[in-house]
Amino acid sequence: MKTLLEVKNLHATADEKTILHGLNLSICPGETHVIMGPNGAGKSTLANVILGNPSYLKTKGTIKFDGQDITNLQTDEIARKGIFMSFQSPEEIPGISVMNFVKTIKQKVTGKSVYLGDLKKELDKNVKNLNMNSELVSRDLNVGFSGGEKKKNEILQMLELNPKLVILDETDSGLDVDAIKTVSKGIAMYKNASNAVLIITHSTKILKKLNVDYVHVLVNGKIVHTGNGTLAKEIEENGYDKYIKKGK
Amino acid sequence: MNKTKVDDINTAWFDFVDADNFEFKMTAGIDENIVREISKQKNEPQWVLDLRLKALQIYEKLPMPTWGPDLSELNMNEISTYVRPRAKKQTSWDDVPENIKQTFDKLGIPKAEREYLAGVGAQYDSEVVYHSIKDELIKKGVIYTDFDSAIREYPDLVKKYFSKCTPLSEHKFIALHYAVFSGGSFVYVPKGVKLDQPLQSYFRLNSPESGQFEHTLIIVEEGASLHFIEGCSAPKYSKINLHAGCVELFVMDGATLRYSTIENWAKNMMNLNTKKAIVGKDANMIWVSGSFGSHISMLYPMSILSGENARTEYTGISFAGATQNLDTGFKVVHAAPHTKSIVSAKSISKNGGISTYRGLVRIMPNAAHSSCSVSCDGLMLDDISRSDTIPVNDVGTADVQFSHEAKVGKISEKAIFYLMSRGLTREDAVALIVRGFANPISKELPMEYAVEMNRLINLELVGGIG
Amino acid sequence: MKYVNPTPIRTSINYGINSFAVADELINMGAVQYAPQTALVPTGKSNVKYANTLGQTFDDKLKFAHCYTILDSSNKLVTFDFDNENATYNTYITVSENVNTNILINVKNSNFNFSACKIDVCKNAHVNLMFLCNFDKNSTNFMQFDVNLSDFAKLNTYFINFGSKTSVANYHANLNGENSTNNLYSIYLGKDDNKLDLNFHMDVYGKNSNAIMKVIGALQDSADKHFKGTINLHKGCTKSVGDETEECLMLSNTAHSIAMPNILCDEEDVNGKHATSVGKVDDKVLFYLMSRGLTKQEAIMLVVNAGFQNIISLIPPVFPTTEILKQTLKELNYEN
Repeated sequence: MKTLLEVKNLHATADEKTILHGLNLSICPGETHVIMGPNGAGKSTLANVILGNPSYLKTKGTIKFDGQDITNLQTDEIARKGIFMSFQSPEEIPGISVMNFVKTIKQKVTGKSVYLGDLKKELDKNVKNLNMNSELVSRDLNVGFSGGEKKKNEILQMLELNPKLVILDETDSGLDVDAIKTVSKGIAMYKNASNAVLIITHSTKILKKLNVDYVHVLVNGKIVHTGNGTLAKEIEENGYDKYIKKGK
Repeated sequence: MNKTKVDDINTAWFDFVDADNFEFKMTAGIDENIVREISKQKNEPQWVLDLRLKALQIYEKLPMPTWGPDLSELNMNEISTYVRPRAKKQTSWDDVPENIKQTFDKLGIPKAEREYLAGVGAQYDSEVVYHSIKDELIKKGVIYTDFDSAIREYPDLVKKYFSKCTPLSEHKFIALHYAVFSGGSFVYVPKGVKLDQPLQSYFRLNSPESGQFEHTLIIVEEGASLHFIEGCSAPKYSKINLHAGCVELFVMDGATLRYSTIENWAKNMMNLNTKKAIVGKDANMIWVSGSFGSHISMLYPMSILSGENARTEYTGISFAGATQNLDTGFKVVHAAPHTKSIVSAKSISKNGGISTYRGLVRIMPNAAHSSCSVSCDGLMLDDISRSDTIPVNDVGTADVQFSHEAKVGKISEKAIFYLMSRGLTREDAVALIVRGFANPISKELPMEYAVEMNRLINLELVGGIG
Repeated sequence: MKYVNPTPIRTSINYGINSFAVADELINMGAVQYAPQTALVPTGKSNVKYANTLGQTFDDKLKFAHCYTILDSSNKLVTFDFDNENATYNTYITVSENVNTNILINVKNSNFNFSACKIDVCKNAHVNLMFLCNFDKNSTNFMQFDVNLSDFAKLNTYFINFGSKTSVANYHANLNGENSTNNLYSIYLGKDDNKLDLNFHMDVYGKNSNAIMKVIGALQDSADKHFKGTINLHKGCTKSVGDETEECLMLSNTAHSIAMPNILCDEEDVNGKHATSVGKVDDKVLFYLMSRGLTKQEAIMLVVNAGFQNIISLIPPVFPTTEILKQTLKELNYEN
């Protein structure tokens, strides 16, 4: 099967410190991957590096997406190719409503005009399915949103943009029960045989309702072990010690 | 390092020139003969001439300001203070001379009038060429006319209020204004009358090396309400033009006045305008201001809260680009108990522009139980521009709530990354953030002006690293 | 007559913020210079680790300074006592590279005081500097501080001001070095018909630097306070932070507060902000405290004291914090 995301020998630094030390990862369409690891292993870095965050420098290795080399592309080009990242702390952008923002990004990614009337209907539907407060849609983007509301807003954008690969940066396990439900439901609504999900997380709470294909353990900037869905539970019970030793 | 190069505001929209085809243009400079000639040309009553001459004396005595931007480029000996266009005031656009009509057509004025205004005044250089007001308003006793006509037709009313809000000696350019004022509007809204559509005055300066000194006097009687829109523009010339107009607003007890301005003078304009409101008991004065043009601006709208429970709000944005020094700010004096003011001032500087917020809050000892909150935001879009915040907060009594906060900096890289991760290019991301920054102001403007304002914020997209 | 402590930028005198005028003889003494660095010419370096009481007679012109260099971190607290009846002091302190030290400048006065103090904090030196002013309530005081910070220099300045009929302070810091930090903490209490004029100015030139001002004060009776705070972020000081906060509690309807918190910014890649608030003690807070048995006056003083504690709690224990606390409570007539 043709891989969707292919990361080969990725080395990356931030503030002149090397964080990723030759990371390899392969994701095929239809799959759900999970990356777990101790603090400082490089989990959030990986997500940011794939999206081309200029605060991180790639020093070696390649990233291919859907057959194309995206290693040196800019963030927006990568996004338009079909990768979506759900942020841990989404930015507040005052002066633009969620609805207008969704309209703008949808038009950008699809290249087609989006009509407010149709968009509103679609948003209302998704908002209802995600158990979101409908008035969030008319508020300024993320301004004054609680952590849970911001998370729901990210999932809403994900559903509207319908990307090929979703990266959920969930390294902050401070989500409440409500938000975890939303994320799970959102992924369930989104997931199909031709797209893929990569979840980067500390905790397994978010994984409970998902069909996980692979779990990778990230230690010291490298993936040191890969297993199937049960690995997540094992880590939750026994921690990372076994793998930290392996990674040394 | 990522930088976004942002182009000057697209002034092509306003930058069309009519031939300087005036009927009469005063010789440049300012002296007693010129002042007398202006009065003679307008056929004014003696009291107006007396006031002009008094103002001239004051002008000659007062020194130039020792603060703010450098005004040395202004040479009054090169400015003509009075230019009469080849047109008499009309009440129908069909009767306005073609070239002038076309000017206002391009600016969208007649269309706006048809679609959503209750009345329009259009001034071309020093005289008003068009004035209209819906009949039903005249029946209600609303007066909306050009200033010259007001002096003739409502002398008692004008005498009662004229120069009582902004006295002749307030500063040098007010004195100059009173010496050579011409054009402008007079608005009177009787007790209890609430206009549900706005009145608009538009000022167009066409003649090079000249000045516009329009005087707007608005009286909103008890319990009445009005939304007044002021628009101004001028084509760009290489020599200096001067704008030293004056706006006097009387908001009587229980009345509401909303004054919206979009200023887009060209880059050779010295904009030394004065706007002031006296706000009575339970009255509400709302200012909305967008300053985009002019070479140098010194603009400090002011509200004097003179009656108990008086309220004022100011929402403004200024955008200083290359060669521009926009020194603006809001002044409020709380001179009665239970008064309230809310100030929100934003500024954007780029391409070497200088944006300064220079505000004043004065809470007098008799203003117990008053509250004031000021918030200033300066956004710098590159590393060659300047943004200064210079507020003065003067509190003379304990029983108040006063807070002031200000921020200055550039657009956060994190915000840009977030938006780019949604597929927007870097330029789009910056444009979105800047529009969002200006949103509180465009939200307060009538729709067509908001669209206009967004069009004025036109960003040239050059992104890239380094 | 000339205006003392004028604002550093072109601004209208009509606002009343430059309102303390002084007689010419004081001008001749250099009492009104805004930029005091030109007033001080070293008499010659003396490498002294510790210095106590020094004094100059009133007649000495302000041209020459006593110089001290703090060579190493061996002394936990270096103290200077300025407490003559009528005095002018000129001090030039240099803190050598890599030195960690604490300096206490004790200023007491019963009549007239003019002190000029210049401090150079060299590379990587960390200094806690306190100006503890305990003036007689009828005295007149002029204080000028001029501070220069080199790369990685860190200076915490604590400026505690009690008493005096007229108190004029002019603090000017140049954050020349990269990664330099100046935290300026100040508390003031105006009473009777005190006049207090504080002019704090920080010029930031070096990258990654921090210019922080935190001023907390209260005004009683007919005290009149003028506060001018200027943070000037010059071109090139990328990634620097300028942050100014001033909180003033007004305790009487005849007190008067003027504040001018300025941020001047010539560099986009910075974070500049300021916040000021003026007002009385919140009624809800008063009610809550009174419902616990405190009189209204006690409740107000408790709140004022709490405000001061926000800064006093930041003072390193090597300084006479207990005395400061006692003095604060005494000033507030808050017997405990």
